Amino acid sequence: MKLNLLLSFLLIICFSCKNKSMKLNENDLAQKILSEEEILAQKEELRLKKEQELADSLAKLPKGFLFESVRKTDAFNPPIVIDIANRMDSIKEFKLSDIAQSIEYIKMQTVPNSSISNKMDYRYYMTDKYIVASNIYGIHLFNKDGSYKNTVVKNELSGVKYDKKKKQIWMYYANYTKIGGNPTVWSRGDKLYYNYQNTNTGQNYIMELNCSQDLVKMKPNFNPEEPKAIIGMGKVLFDMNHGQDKVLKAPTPLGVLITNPEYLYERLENFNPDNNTYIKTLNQHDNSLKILNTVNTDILGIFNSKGDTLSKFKKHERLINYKHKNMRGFDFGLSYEKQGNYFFRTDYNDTIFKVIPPNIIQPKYVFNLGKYKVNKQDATTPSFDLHGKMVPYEWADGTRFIFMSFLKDNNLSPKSMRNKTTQLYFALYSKQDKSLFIVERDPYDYQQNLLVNNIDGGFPVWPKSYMINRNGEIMLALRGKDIKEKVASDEFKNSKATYENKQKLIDLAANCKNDDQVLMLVK
Amino acid sequence: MHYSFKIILRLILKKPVLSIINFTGFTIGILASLLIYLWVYDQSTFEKFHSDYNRIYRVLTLSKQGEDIIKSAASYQPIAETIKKDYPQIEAATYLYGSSEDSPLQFENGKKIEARKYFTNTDFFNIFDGFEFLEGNAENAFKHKSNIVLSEKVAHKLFGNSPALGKKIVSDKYSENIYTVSAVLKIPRNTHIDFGYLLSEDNLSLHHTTNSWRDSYWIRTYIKLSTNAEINDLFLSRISNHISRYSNRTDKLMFQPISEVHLHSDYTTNMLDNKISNYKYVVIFSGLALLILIMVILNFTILSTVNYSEQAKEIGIQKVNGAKRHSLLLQFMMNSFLQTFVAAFFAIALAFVLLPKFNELTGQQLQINLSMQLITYLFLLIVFTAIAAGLYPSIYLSKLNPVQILKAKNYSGGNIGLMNLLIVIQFAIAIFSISVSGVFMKQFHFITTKDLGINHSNMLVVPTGLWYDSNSFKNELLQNPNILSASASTYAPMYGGFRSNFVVDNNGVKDSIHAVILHVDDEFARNYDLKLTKGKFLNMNYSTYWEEMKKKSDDHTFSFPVVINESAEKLFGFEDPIGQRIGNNEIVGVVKDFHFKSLHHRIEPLVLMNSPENIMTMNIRISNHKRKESIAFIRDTYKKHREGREFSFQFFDDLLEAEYRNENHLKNTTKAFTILSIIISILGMLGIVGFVVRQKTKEIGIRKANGAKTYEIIQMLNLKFLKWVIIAFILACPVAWYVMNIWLQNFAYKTELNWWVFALSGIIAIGIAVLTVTWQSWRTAKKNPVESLRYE
Repeated sequence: MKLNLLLSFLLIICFSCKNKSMKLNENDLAQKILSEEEILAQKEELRLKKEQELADSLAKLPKGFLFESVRKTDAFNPPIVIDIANRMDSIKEFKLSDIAQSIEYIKMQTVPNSSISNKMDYRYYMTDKYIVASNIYGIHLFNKDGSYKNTVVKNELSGVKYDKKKKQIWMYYANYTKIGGNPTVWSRGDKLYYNYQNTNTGQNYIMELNCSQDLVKMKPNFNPEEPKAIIGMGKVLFDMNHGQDKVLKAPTPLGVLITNPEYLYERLENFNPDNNTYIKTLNQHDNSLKILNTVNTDILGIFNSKGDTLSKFKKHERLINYKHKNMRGFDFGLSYEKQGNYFFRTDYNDTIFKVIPPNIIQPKYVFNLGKYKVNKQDATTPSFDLHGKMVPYEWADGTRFIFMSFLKDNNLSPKSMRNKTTQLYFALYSKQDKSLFIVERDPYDYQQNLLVNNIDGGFPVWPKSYMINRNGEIMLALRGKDIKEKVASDEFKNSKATYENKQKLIDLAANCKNDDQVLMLVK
Repeated sequence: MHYSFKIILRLILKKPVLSIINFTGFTIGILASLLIYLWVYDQSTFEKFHSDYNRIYRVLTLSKQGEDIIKSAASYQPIAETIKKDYPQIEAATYLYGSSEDSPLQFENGKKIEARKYFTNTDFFNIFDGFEFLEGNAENAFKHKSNIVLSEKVAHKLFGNSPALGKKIVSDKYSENIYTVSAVLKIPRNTHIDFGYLLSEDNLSLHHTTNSWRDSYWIRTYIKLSTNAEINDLFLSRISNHISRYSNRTDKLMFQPISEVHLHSDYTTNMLDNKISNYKYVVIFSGLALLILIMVILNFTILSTVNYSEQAKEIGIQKVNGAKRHSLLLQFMMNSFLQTFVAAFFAIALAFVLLPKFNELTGQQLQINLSMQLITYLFLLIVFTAIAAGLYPSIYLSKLNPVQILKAKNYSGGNIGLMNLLIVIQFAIAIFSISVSGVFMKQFHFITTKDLGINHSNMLVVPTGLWYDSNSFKNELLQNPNILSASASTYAPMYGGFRSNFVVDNNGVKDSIHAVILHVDDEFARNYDLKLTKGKFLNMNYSTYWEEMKKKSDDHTFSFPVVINESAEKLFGFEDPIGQRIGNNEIVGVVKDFHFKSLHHRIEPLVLMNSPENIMTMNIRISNHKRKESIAFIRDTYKKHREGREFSFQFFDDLLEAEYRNENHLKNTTKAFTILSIIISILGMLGIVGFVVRQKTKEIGIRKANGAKTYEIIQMLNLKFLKWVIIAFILACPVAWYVMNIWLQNFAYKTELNWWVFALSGIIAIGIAVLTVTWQSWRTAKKNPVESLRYE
């Protein structure tokens, strides 16, 4: 009888006792969901509240009202001083595992429309739900597993050539036209924003695309009979010309601009922090300067949706009585979006500002360059000897670290690299420890992806400012061919990374075609 | 030994009634235990035919829906691929992407059949290696995109007994697809996975792959852990957060061992989850078998003890003549073993005879295979039953003092107390069983007769597959005067609908609310007699629908009318819901709450929408007259409109009955066990009353000689026993009430636990006791007192 009792219930007990190894506490997970949902809801509520407050206050302003531009530090959150001058001797060896735990590779599905060129590597941006891959040929949405979702805009270009081998874009002003979106995109919640331009008509918009809705189909291709028809998805949020479209006038009509894609990728020249205002960096070649009633000395403006200028900010570093025929230009400043905020640094300047609409710019990071500091006037003067001087080069604001680099003694040009007259320093600033370390390496080695990949033995890493996602993960654009070559290299074979991780890369290489675009996500 | 055996046989033959009682009891007890063992064993074999079943898990999703956290087996398609990629602990991951409807398949110009399509990846065969390949092999199953893997059933339907491998099959649902049969799989009975045919995931349309983190209702994901997978807290924490890494969802993952899917799926399942049962039924049935066995053992223990007490002098003489205690002990145990073994033999024979009936009762397909495991179980069952039954009488009787025995004229020891205990326990169990059975029957009656808020009498449900324009078919049907009404819907209002999320703007406060959406046509309300409480029912025709859909694809400004039920009205919180919008839909009417799922589920907020894109069922009400002719007419009309498609139908009432199959089986089984427990109680009572009556033969004779009437004798004996039955009733009722209260919590809609159910159980038990005692005592009381007193 006892056995019968035992047998009858033993089976039942067995069901509930076995496989405990994968057992998760349902109540704990439910609590976790609730708290995460609450955080998301609070964030969204706060954002909507702020946006509404701003909209209400702007609506009350008299027409033509201009705020006084304020450049001030926040007494409670003073700017972080990054002491470069005194930390040049703090050299430390860094490997990829010092800043990341794992690597994920996402093979991007090839865009089904074969008329869209796949020659150029993507600039990646991650929204909460999607991966946005863009380049001069258009903007595409992918799911986070790399499967293609939609093309947001397929750019219509003429007068543009891309040299895949040298990774150079040639823009011939004589017949240059562009109808479509800029590669720099940004997002808020389910909304994706991009700058849409039509050089034929002068249209210049910030477009908003609600990705939560079904993106049923792509907008039609350009139709000459409807020259002003928008060929990108979404709706116009801001007309940055305020109804006064002006056709592009190239500075040198017969000239050609040769640049690499990074130049186009790293600048975020237009940005809307909310749906009431937008921020625009101003430069002398911009057609909209007159429309926006700005002048050459202005560096940045904040505008509202009705076309009113809310505030303008003057350039920090200006050239005075510059009489040289040539100009040495190698620092172009930077601008980026982080957590819905806009940050910028002007060329040769040492301060990174956060923009707070409608009229505040607030210093967030300041470089202490000390004796290495050089002003814009001297830096741009070709005859000025830069020996012993330092200029900020790259900057990427991550979650735990800030990745930065500096040029010392000269600018970075093919000649200076050949002659090794420039030193390139990389540094890591730990936000937690508030400490700066110069990465141990040969400053005359200009290889820029320098953190040795000891996680999977693959590609060395150093982030670009625009390739850090909102989770602080570093994104690198790769090709199937790169991966195949990498796994065949001695460096990879000799790497002491774990077998499992290396095998993942080998498997990926085996499953990739040469032209496949792959997003490497360093977490 | 030989001597002991002779004594046992003599005892058995000397007390035939007692022996029959014991033997019948043992047979019933072992039979019940054997049948339940077969059933429990069968339940425990689910999914264990896969060689690595203990490493296979089903992926569950925990997500916030409205205010609730819902656990579900619904899964996202990319989970399988990403989870395998991200965690070295996972050796393989697969998913089954089921179709919401059957699809046609045809071999050359042969018969066109309909079967359920599933998409999967190549890891499917790595994980589920227990599915036997009748033709083909795992390696080549998905070698080419156009390969198709058929289930044995579908292969048989298409090709009969001819081989299927390499043959071309055409499916022309939306566009013509030609597949080559690469394998035929045998799907065993004991699995929750069922499919008509499998296609490689390469055949999934772009729509399915691009909306991959959104569609989940029709997907089930499974993983297999590596052999030496290191499962630590960090891994579990990361993997439970897996979805958040790829989307902004807060959903969490959980993992259910595949062997638990059949009995421990404590979440809402859908059509993809077959043969899902509940471990509670295993507990209930095992408990019932155990109670029966307890009753049998008690019967034997106590009746043997009192019976041997009557033979006390014989024991005393044996002891005086030098019989050792252990030899007596052995003798008593042998008696127990002998009876148990013989009873077991009969029980096995009876099991063979009764198994078909038991299968019918429980809805199972059990078989008796005399496996080593079963033989071992039986052996252990017999040994332990025999020991448990024989232990007390053996010890008690073998230690009796021979002097005391021989001095006493009629030795009955302290057995009266034991007998009373037997009555209390047996009747308590019987009353418990009757009460439980009564509540089961009452609940079953309640759920099968409760007004669902719809009129479903004579309603025919015809699965049609996705059918964009069923209007002409419907109109032609209505030409027949015996077809009373017809309407189209996604499913019959019993299988629910799809869960959907609606954005509700209530006085400027936006909220995201989950409700069930059921796609129906404009005749649905009239067809099922839904009661409209506000506004009007859907009246949008299909051409307007397509115009709106076009708008939707152009600029997102579109509007579809919807009707909501009262629960949705309450949830959405509109003062006047008519004209209000939920998402892009305008509320045009409110219907009274009705049940669109079985009564296991509460009525949820429901949104009825008219969409031809989701029509897969035709609901046709026919007249009570000429039913055969009406069905033939429907079949002919259907074949005319859906050329080559298979016609099938079921009455709504039959579908409803199928929804309560588990409860029906439970009710039937409980009934059977209750009858068994009553029989055992009667047997026990007969034994005890017989003993008492024998003890009181002289007393009855004297009473009668002094003028006592027969009815007075009967009354005297009845009162003696009835008080113990009443105590049993007092003990059993609270336990039965408590157990049934817990069981009823499984139902969203339940019957009341009325006092009269328990009172009735008591009355039945008392009735049985009175009849048993009266019959026995009447026989003795009717005897001539001279005969009774002659014993002296």
